[in-house]
Amino acid sequence: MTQDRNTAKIEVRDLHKSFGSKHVLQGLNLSIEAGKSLAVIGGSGTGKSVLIKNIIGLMEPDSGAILIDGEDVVGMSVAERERVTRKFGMLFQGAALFDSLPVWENVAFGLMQSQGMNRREAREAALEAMVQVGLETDIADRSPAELSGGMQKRAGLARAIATKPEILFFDEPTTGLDPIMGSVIDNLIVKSVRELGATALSITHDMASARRIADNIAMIYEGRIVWHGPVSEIDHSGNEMLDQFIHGRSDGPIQLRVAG
Amino acid sequence: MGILRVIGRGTIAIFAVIGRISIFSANGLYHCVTPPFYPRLILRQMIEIGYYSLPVVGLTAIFTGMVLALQSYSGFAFAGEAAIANVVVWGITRELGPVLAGLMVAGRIGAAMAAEIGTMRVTEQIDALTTLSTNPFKYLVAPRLIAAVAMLPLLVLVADVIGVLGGFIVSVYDFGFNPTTYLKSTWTSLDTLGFVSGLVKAAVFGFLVALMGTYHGYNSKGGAQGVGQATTNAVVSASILLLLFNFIITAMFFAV
Ligand SMILES: Nc1ncnc2c1ncn2[C@@H]1O[C@H](COP(=O)(O)OP(=O)(O)O)[C@@H](O)[C@H]1O
Ligand SMILES: [Mg+2]
Repeated sequence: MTQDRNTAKIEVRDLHKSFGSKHVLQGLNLSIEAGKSLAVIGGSGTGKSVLIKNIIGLMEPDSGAILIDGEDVVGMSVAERERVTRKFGMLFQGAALFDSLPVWENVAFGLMQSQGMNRREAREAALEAMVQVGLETDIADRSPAELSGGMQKRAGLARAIATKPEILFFDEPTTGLDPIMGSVIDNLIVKSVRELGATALSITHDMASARRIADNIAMIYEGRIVWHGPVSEIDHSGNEMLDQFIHGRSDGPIQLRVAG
Repeated sequence: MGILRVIGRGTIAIFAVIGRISIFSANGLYHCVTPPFYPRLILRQMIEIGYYSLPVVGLTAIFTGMVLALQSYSGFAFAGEAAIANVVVWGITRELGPVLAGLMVAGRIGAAMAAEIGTMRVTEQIDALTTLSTNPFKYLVAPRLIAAVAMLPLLVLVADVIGVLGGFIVSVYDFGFNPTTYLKSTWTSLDTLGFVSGLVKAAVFGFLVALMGTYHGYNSKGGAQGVGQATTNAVVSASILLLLFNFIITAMFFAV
């Protein structure tokens, strides 16, 4: 694994985050090269979402560094942080569309709010983004609540890519979708990331999805990355924890603690 | 020892909550006065709070005015119509107009704010705002605070007029008072200080209702149940704070 600082788009160093006595991230290290797509895999409740929220700035880490394009964003001022946030686009697990706004305003939200585009131009751009993710433009004026789960994910993806971000985050992109729709969304993600030339960080517990969308895989367990490598190597990594996770075995080094 | 510990813990918890709410409201106020502003959102909230609360506030006011006239007639009939007009005007403009309008709005608007923002919290819409470079305090909290502080005095103004009208209707049609003299007594009993104190209360109540609605919504967690809890907390805490501040403001205006 190279740790070349010049090419790392995102680098996480010794990240710690606790909630009360629950030590969720325990010195996590991770780096993603520019233009690459990394999937962080791991069981439910292992801190995948917490990791993404720390990187995006929705949570403050207890300690550690998070470098975006070589700049440490931990402890940055609000204004500086906002400048970095403009590089980001994110697709949330439940799509997180604003239900007070019609679909097109959801998609155009970043364009109007952070890029100051006027409503007419923004609507045009939104319709374009909708076409890119395979949404019919005649749903533009509908409310997000009227859309199916798959369509909501598409709209969420359109919203994430509309501002042409340099870095895209995907939180469980296929969770809650049927396998076919899941693979459709994965393919759209791959296509969107490629077209933008973006760097992507996905978190998922769906191995099929991880294989489709990622160049590299990192496995999180007990607050650390326990394996990191190209997707082609995951089937013969020789790492017992990774093997157990990929094959979904209940016995092995990973012990589920049901009692919390 | 045990009881001291319980008291100590309770005291610490109360101060922690007061601290959190103070920080939240300072944050909210800061974002009310720094750009960018969202005029569309402020307008939408103003319509929601001001216009759509008119029926419920108007109905509350008219019945309250009528009942004030009835009660004061049964108590002070000997004092004549001037006394009744006086009780109605003072009662409505100083206390019942702002308090009842405030409580009605707490139920209607405070609950709606907590439910809407709480739902946005648990469905990650608030996180989504941040990733789209939009500050949730500016986008969600500030417009509601501004709209509520602006609209509550207007609502109370309407409540004052309708409440006094309620008293007038009962006095004229039920007690057979002379309408002109009654109106004249109404006018002379109207005092600036009492009237203004009512509007100041209204603005403060508007702030409290919006603050509790947004605070509980913003901090709600744990799915649909959490949102329901936030809604209840918003209404109950807004109502209690409102009555507490009603006392404080009254004391500031009238206690010598
Ligand atoms: N805001 C929070 N407050 C307290 N605990 C949290 C919070 N967010 C996450 N956690 C806890 O951190 C752990 C990891 O959560 P998460 O990152 O959501 O897991 P996942 O890997 O399934 O995405 C869980 O045990 C969760 O309960
Ligand atoms: Mg998660």
